[in-house]
This record gives sequence, structure tokens and C-alpha cells, in this order.
Amino acid sequence: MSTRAKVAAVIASAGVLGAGWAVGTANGATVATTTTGTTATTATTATTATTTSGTTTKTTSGSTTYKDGTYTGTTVTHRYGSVTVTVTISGGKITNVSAQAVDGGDRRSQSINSQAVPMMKTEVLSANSAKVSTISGATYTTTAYITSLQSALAKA
Amino acid sequence: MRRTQLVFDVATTEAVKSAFRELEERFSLYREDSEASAIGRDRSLIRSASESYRDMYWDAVAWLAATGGAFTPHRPDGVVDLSGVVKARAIEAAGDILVAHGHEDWCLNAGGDVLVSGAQASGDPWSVGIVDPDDRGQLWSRIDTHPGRMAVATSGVQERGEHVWRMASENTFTQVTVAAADIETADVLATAILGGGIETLQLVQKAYDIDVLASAADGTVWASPVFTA
Repeated sequence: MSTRAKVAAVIASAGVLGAGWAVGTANGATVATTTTGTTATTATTATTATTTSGTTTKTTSGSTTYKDGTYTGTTVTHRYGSVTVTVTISGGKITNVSAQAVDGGDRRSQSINSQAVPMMKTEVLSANSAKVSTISGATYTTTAYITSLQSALAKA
Repeated sequence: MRRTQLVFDVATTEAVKSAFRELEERFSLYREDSEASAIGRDRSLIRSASESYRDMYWDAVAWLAATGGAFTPHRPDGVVDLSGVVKARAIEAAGDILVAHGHEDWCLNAGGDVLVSGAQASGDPWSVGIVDPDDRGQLWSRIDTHPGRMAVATSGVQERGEHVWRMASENTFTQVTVAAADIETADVLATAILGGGIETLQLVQKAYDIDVLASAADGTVWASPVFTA
């Protein structure tokens, strides 16, 4: 029962994060992006909450408040292991989230001999841009990639 | 100026934004009223700082020790800058919230720091691209995520800030990518190796289970086996 992965590209800016951030999860139905200081066209669905200039517009589902207490979620198994999350609510807000993750894979076999060694640049494994999900490194490329991904998904 | 748009249900969205807001209010050096800015103006305030701040501060200091000083929260101008660890904690918090709201498969990219969970719809792992340091419009290499490598961070000379200047010598790294089990380890060690060079690389890869792809100004590369063709 591997969950159907959800795909959505998001860029949001926050002071502590610097240039911007993006969340991609596989959904197939929802996509949204934003870029600092620019007007970004985004594809949205009826269930998407949107914010402009720091204010949240009302969504059809209305606002959500939580009851105070500590709640442990069900242990969720995913492709590579499982996670159990515990959430603490205080004053109607999430005040603590802790997650316990169990790796299903054998980490030891992956870590054998992973020491870096010197080599020529041309000996490095090439990327296949068709298969890359996202790009590490805060570059204009990342933003462009995500914007492009978003526009492609908007057509899907 | 900022536009935020999140695609999850309202509960998830609000939880993530709330977590970021709290971190930003306390740690942003761009906000004059943040705790971090107050301490930036007067370091003696650390003694009476909030538990949250002190926790983050000692985390950063622990990394300073672990990296032999290559990673440090102490800027040359004397201001304590915890942004290196705060960013990673924010991403982790966002990831925890996604999981808490039942999202098992996702790929989170926050300013170039990548954290993933689960896999793509096809069953393929989330694959993270790395740009060519000599041509940042091109992809160079990639790494597939898996348990133990769910986080990938890349540090480049462009990100070290205008305040830092150093002479590029033949064995200076210009770009470092680290893949690790968690984003804080990946982020801090990428920064540390970029600043500290080969010595730091050899120090930290003995102590931490990571994969590294580091390129030097003279065109040589230090790469873990996973990055070899």
C-alpha cells in the first residue's frame, strides 16, 4: 500500500530561510508556487488556501482550531520505513511536534566505503534532467526549475 | 512583497506557517525586534535568553566543536548568527508537520536545502540534482534519496555572503554538496566543508555517515562513490 505520491510545487519566502522554499509532493491535482517580490502565476484548485501580502484569504472549509492535548498519530509506513508523530496542542495551536522514524532499509550497507576521494570532474555521475525531482543549492536555476515544473503541472 | 501559497489543507498550511512565523520572530536578524537581533547587539543577553534561543545556540556551538571551527555561529563582526541551524530546524519542523498531517511522500526544497519523505508516485526515489559550479544554468550530477540520505544541502561561494572574502586557491572548494540522514547535518557540514576545505572534509566524513561532492577551484573534485559514473 505505497501511497500514491502527491506532486505540488510550492515556493514560499520566509525571513529565516533566505531566498525561498518549495515543497513538492505528488498529488497530481494541486500546484502552487510563489516567488519573493515577483508576481507568479499559479495553478490552484478549489481547496487551495492562498495568501497575499501576508494575509490569508478565507477558504471554503473555514478556519480550524485544535483541542489542547497530546496526540500520537498512527504509525505510517512508507516506502523506506515508518514514522510515528506526536503532536502537542496548547492554546489551540501546535506547540510541539516530534517524529519517531524507523528506517526500513539497511543503512549500514549504504554507508560502507562512502568516503570521498579525489577525481576529475568528468568522472562524476551525470544528471538526467528528466529524472531529477528537484535541485539542491539556492540558485536561480532552482527557482526557474520549480516555476517550470509548476507550469508543466498546470497543463497536466 | 511576499506572496505565500500552500497547497495542503488549511490545517497543514496553518501549522507550517505558524512554525515558520515563530522561528522567524525569534531568530531573524532582519527583524529589529527579534530575540536574535537583541542578542546581536549585546551578546551578554545570551545568559538570560529564552530556552528556545539557548537550545539553538548550543546546537550551533556543538557543530563548531564537531567541525573543528569550520562551522561557526560567530561572525567576524561579533554578531551571533544562528541562521545556519535555524534554517535547518525550520525545514525539519515543516517536514514533521507534513508527516503529522498524514503526508507520507513529499519533496521539500527550502532555499536549496532538500528534505524528502517516502518516494515518487512511480515508486522511484526522489532524485536530487546538483548544478555545475562552472555553469550554474546546467545540471551536473545527481543523487537518489534513500534512508540515511533523505536530506541534501549544497553550499556555494555565492552563498557565503558579501562579507566573506577569501583568496581562491587551487585547493579551495567552490561548491560542496552533502547528503545525510537529516537536513541539519547536511546543511552544516556542506557549509563547514566549503569554508574549511579538504581538511574539514576528511575530519567530518570520518565522524558522520554522509556522501559528499565537493568541487575545487582548479577543477578537481572530491566525490563519494555514489557520485561516480
